[in-house]
Amino acid sequence: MVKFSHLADCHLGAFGRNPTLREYNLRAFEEVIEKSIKEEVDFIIIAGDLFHNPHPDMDIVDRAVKSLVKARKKDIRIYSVYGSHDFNIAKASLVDVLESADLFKKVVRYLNESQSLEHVEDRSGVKITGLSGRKSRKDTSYYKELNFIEPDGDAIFVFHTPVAEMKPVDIHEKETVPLSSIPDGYKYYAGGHIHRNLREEKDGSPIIYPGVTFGSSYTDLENDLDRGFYIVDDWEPKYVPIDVCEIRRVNIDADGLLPSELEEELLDLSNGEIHEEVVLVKVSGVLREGVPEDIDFMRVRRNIEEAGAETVFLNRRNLEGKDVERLKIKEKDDAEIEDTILDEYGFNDLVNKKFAKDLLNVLKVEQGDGETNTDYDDRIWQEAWNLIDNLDEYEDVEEEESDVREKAVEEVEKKDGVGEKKGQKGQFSLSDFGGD
Amino acid sequence: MTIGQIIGGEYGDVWIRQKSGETIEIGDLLSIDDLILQVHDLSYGSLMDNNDLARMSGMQLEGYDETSLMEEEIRNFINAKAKPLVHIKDGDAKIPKILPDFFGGLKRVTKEDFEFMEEPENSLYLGKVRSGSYTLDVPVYINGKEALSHHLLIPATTGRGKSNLVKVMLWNLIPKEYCGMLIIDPHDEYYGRNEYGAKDHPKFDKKVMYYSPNPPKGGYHLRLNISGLKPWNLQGTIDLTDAQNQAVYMFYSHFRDDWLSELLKASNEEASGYGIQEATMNALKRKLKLKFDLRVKNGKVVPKGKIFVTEGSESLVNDIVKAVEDGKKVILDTSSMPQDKELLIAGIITDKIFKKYKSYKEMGELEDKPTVSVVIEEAPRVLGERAGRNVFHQIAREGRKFNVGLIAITQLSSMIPREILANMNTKIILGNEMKSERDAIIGSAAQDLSKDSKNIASLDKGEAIVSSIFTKFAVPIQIDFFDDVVEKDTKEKKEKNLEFFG
Repeated sequence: MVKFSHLADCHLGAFGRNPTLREYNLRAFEEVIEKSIKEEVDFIIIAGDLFHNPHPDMDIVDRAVKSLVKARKKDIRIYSVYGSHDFNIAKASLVDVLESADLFKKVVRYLNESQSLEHVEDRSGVKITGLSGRKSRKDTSYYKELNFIEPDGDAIFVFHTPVAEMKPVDIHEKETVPLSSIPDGYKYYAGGHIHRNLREEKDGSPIIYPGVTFGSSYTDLENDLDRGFYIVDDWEPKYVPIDVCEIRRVNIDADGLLPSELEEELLDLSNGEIHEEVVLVKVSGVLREGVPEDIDFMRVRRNIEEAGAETVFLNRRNLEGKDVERLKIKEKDDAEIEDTILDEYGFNDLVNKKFAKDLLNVLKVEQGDGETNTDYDDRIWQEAWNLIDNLDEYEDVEEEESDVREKAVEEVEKKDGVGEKKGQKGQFSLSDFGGD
Repeated sequence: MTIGQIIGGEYGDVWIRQKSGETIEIGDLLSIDDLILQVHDLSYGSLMDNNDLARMSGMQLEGYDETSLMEEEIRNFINAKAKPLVHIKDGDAKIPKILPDFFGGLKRVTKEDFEFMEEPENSLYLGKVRSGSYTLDVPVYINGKEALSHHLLIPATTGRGKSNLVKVMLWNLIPKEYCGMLIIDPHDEYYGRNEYGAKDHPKFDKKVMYYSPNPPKGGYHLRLNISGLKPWNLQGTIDLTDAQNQAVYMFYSHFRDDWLSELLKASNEEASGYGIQEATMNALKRKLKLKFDLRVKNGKVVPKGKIFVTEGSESLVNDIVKAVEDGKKVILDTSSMPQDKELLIAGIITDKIFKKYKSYKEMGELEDKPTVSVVIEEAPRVLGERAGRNVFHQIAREGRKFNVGLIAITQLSSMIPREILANMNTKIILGNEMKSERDAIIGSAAQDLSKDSKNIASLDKGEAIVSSIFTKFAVPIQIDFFDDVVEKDTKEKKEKNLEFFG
């Protein structure tokens, strides 16, 4: 009888700018390992995205390694595939280092000649075949192109790819694979990537996404998801929830409110003691007048923290002022659209406009494959400030230069979101607003 | 070379004497000066009177000595009737308003006669120009984006090449970005499980999605999560009394996406709390369970069949809508479904596409979107008088305003109301031996086909006439044979070169 744990999407190192949430995320993983040890599993399967990026900070690595070593010392084998976050095509990622250190085995074994995958056999006799996830979702093409060979005996297929038929309605994934493309003949299918606890069957065998152990984005936290992993005992999967902190979720409908009324409602949240460690406030709607910037969100956040919350997240992406100007643009390409918008907003002066466009170009660069959130943030900041510092190069507009500088500074500060200094509590990185 | 000469007639009915030794067929295209005429009838002509002809025949039949006529090729001949089809003026095609010269000599058309036919923007290839049973190397295109949003009708009886035509059209449309398609396939013939089909297209992986209750490798499961069912989807698929309808909407207003499972689980006491009577509730539950193959077990709604499910496939409708919006071609294999379930599922997906496109129009984003074409077989099932109001009806009437069109395939055009037939602005008419059906098609064609009844009756497999507001005249075409198209396009097999990382 074989017993194993199946977990995925731990995203260790996520919430890079929020130490509280980063810590809870780590704790959730540690708890998973503790529970697996206690349950005396034969092995642990990590179906990708153990880390939030391929080269996480060393303190994260330290904690993760300590946990994994504990399991290994109890003779628990650990098997893994790359996820879309912890894989780097250009250079070795931490997952490779951990494999070299014999902390776990990557179970993706590609045979070039037959263009097929070979399995890894666990001491228990169970064969494990793996297929990693890729950020670009190039892994989906492998399901069409590889020659999958049906395994003999008890076998597990580990993958990090969204299956179309299992995808929840609110998750927007362009590239998925159909259930029919998942290879046949396995006794258990250990999935990763979809941040939901989902279960389906393929020819009578369970195909499971355990979902997150904690979550990797504010969206994950806002959705009241199952958090945990599976323990599979004699091929019977059982979900094990993991709760490392209490989360209070508040939704406020701001439709038709004045900024002062909304601010009052938000401040009311801090009346009395708050017992939950994490408070997530989602504000949406259209204000009766004024703009969201009229509300002192900093004060709201501070008050909630003073009332007992360890960390607060105010989501106001769907909050609008009534007089929000909407531009309708029908240009052919990005450059033309930018031109039109800049003209509409009064960036008519050539130099002024050139600066604005250069700044836009800096701000719209996407995070590189394998680049950490911190590196990405730092790079964007650096390049934006370089541009502002070299405004002299945008010559012949001396008298207007101060205006331009002011506007540019505003732009950058706006991008920063809350206007706080870097590193302060409650500040978010650019990537915190991204996806998984 | 002259093959006939004009000897009389009137506009639309020009009489042509066939030159001896030549053969003129029904449907033949003949040219004279700037005019192209099409033969629509053939008869015998003779300079002898009927008694002489009968006498001559009698002598031959009864074995009298050899009898022969002097200058027989002068005395007896074939008479063809033709209509002016197109007038080529300054390199452009016009509707003919003139008659050719008396005694004018007619030639067979050649490729050069069709130099005015150009490939339009967003082209859709239909076949090659056909003169009678002879095919010319002149490709026929229409503006696919326009034509598909203005609906297309494919009327024909069995065995005249409907499937081949749709397969060829689909094959040609697969790489086209200007059009997304939803193909409801009740015979599971377009994917090509056991023969050539869309699956063989070099761009299948990127451009086609195949949904089936029993999908092959690479295909998607066609099954619908009941949370995606809305009360209005029941219209036309299930007979409900007013009270039952109200109960459905009552549950929907309380439970939204969970209305069906909550309704099936609700006790009579709970139902009476909403003002629903016990008898209404019981009858409604019975109907819904039967329709959707569901049952309630241990307080949980569980599926009995494979089509309607309670877990998984939540995003099926959205995924299909998104794919179609991205210009992909989505094939739904409904071959194993009863008709009511087929139409229910097809209706739900089509309804969602149509609503989305309506909203794009409202937001001014429609012109950035590809045209959507919904292929529906046995079209009178949804477009006939008895079908009642449904989304296909709605699309047939107003779809073109929203860039959503139908490709309606039918053997029985006469069952489709006249105003809908008239809205189908392109008709690819295949052979049809039923006069009532020919009359229905001719009566609603974009060009005057009043003389073409015999022509349509005589169309062989793969031969068709395209009558469209997007063609200058009703073009006789020869449709390519699908297997030949596949073999030609897939001649060069790509070497599989897998770059594996991971």
